[in-house]
Amino acid sequence: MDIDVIRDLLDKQLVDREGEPLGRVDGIVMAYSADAPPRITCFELGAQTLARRLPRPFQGALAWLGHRLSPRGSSPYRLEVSRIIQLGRTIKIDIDGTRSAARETERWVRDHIVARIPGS
Amino acid sequence: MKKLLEITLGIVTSIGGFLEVGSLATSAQAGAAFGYQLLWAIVLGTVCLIFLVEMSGRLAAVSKQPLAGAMRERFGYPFFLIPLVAMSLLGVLVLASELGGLSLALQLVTGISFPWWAPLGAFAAWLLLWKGTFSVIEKGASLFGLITLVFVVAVFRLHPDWTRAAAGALPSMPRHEPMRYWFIAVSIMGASIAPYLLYFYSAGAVEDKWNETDVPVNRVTATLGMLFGGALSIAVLVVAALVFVPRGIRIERFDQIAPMLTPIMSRWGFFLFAAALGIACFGAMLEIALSVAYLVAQGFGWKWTEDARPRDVARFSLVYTATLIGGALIGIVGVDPLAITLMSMALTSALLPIAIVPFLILMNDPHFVGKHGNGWISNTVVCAIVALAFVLAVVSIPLELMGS
Repeated sequence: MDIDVIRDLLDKQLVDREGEPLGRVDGIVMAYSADAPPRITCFELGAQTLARRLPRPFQGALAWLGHRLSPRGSSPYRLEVSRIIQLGRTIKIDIDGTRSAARETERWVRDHIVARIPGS
Repeated sequence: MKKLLEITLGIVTSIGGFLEVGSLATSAQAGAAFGYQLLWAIVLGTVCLIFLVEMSGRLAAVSKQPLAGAMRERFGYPFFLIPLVAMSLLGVLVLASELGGLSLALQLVTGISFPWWAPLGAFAAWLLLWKGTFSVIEKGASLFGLITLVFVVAVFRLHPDWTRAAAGALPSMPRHEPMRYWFIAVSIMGASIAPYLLYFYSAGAVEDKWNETDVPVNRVTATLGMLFGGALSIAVLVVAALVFVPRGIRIERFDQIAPMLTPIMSRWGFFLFAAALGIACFGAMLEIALSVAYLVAQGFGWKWTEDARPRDVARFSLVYTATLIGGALIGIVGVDPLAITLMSMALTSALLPIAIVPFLILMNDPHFVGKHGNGWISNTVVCAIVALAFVLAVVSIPLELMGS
């Protein structure tokens, strides 16, 4: 199967093995060494990765914002492409999303904000 | 039976989204200032909206993707940020106008002028989103929204001159106050072609798990629902023309619209108007807050649904909460509700290309819609009406700002 990296991978919806959303493919990481052909190794998720894709004047501001807002700080989260189990309308990754760092912000918002509001 | 229920989705979208404070205020003002002459703006807006809503349902049914997600996937994150930011800010602004309408309704019913109606209204909407499910909101809004039919009843009681009204359906040059004329025309089109409806409708279609077999039903739903909404706006304009023009009333303030039904139905008319206004605005608030949340959550790939407990869709719930708070804050600051309504509707027209052009490209991309792509008629009609609304907006907004 031919895969167009930009059309078929970048910005696609990622889901865990239960089919629950993990986020979108914010960036794609490629490994290159002198003795092997370059290959795609990971998907990257996170505010820092998103900030890097913007025109330069916006990068600094968004990176700062992402750094302040994200409970993980600045490091982006990586998902190994070797764990892909299905590639279609969404990209299914063989991990347990409930514990994955990809959902750390979701959990943070839930525990620190939403769960404290009655009736949640 | 299931199909019949699906059609209600179209109707609710039209009640909440079509007859809301924007359509009410712009149609009433148009009728009071220019009689039937601006009916064409409602007709064009409705036709365009029918096509657009049908497209957003078709996109969801075929690609199983809501509009916002498909936009990010097709155009990439950097471009997607432009409609995301523009439509979210616009959503907050339009939400503030709906709160203005709801506050007026509450003020009319209780007789109490109260600056805190806006945050109270926002809180009530939030509570319903926090505790309710999509189907409760959908069915509740369509049931209560039927009260807006009071405007249609009023039209028939007034026995309008149908031939003269029909003449207004064709665009014509203004006979007086050209600046005002074009600005109201732009506001009407912005009020009709509300982009948040598209996010709401396509998310609803995904939430209801539509597939390719739903494409024909979607066509019926979109057409009937939006026609229904358009008919209500036309009814408001006709009533305003027949009630305000002979009395020489010009609408300068929001509360001047209130006695619209009083000459026809006396005291009942007053309360029915307040109820119709309040319910339509409240329904629209729910839809706008959800639409912004859909847009953001789908764009970033978070879990989204109105059917889960808030803690299970934490970021999604946080976004609609923040949107409602934003709208309420503008309400507390106390901007003139009529001015903010007209301006946010005109601004919608000016921003339409940002939302609609990428959408049209998606609807012609076989990668997303397969063999269910747009035909040349829908492409041409939508392009022409959006271009007209945009050009009129770009010309008339600066003039209106300078004039006032």
